[in-house]
Amino acid sequence: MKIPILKIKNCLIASIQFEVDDRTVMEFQDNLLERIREDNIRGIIIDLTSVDIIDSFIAKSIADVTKMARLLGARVVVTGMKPALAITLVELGITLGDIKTALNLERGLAHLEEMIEETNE
Amino acid sequence: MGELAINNLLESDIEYILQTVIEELNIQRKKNDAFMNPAIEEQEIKQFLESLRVLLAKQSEDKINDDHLAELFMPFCQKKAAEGYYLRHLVFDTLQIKKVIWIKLKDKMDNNPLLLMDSLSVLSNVFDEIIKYMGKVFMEIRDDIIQSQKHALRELSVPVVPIFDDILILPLIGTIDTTRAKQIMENVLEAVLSYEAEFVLIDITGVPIVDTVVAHHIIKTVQAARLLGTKCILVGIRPEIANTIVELGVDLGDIKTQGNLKNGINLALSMKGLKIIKEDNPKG
Repeated sequence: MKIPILKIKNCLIASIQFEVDDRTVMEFQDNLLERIREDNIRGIIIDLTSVDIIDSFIAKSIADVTKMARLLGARVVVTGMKPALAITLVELGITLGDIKTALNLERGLAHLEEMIEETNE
Repeated sequence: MGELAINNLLESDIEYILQTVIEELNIQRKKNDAFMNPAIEEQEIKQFLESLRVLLAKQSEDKINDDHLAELFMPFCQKKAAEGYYLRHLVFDTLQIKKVIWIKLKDKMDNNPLLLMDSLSVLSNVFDEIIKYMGKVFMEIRDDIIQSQKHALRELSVPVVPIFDDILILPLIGTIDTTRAKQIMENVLEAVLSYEAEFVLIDITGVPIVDTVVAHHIIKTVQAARLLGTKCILVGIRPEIANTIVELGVDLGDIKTQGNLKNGINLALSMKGLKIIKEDNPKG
């Protein structure tokens, strides 16, 4: 199963809807970077609303893809994390230090627009 | 046959037993100031002896079980517990009643050692069951109280107060241990979701000691809230707390801090691009 990546204007929205394994997330990384290059993408939202649990590898992959996207000129916001998921990650010592987060998709988009404007200035 | 013998005794000598028990209890009470108030009153002793007779009748039919005991002694135990007596008061008085009956039985059946033996062992058994049951009921009542108090304490311990749109205040009061820290983290994150908060002000004015453990818990809460997409501001850091935090070498990382709640609110508002201004013509 592939993680769907949707395009709105110059942004991508990737909603993770099921428990992902290592291979899926690697594929996702490749697809996302490819799409950024093809469509001249400036912002990406990774939505975790329906994710109950992720392991350290997936978390690291998300952190990595954020940095990679940054190199390609796109900013990433992670949205919709559930309390239980946040607690698990913090307990594991994964704080995703330099990744922007937002409560929900709407706020994530607003956040992303601000960030894109900042880079433009 | 022991049951029948005791029951007959309880019937024929009820007045004597009642009076002796009351006298005996009074003597004991005078000896021991600790519980001057009679745990069991005259009317209740009567009731108790009545219940005892029913129980003995049950015993002669088949074994007594918890249902019988519950029926006869549950309301009594509950009443006593509600009146504030401890289990030891009740057991003490119950044992006095047993003693009086015991002596009376011995007087009556001096000429029939076999019946006496049987009666005494029955008496012992029945009273053992009663006291065991009293212990059980009192423990249950105590457990219920502890549970409800724990629950109340838990609710009191983590209030999350929304003050503006998107701004929550978490006033922490009292010592924070690991259990409470977990509770705090869960409640804050849930509240962040339900209020869609953008800022959480963690007010530690009421936290007496901030050591490494407490600081660690606060940092974890802030990090988890950040993962959800919320910013935390730590406020109410008293000078001595600031002192310990630095002395202990606790690294609060990039957590925003403010001296008091007022400044914290101002900071949150200004980060949202809001400001409280004075109106020219105040209403009211």
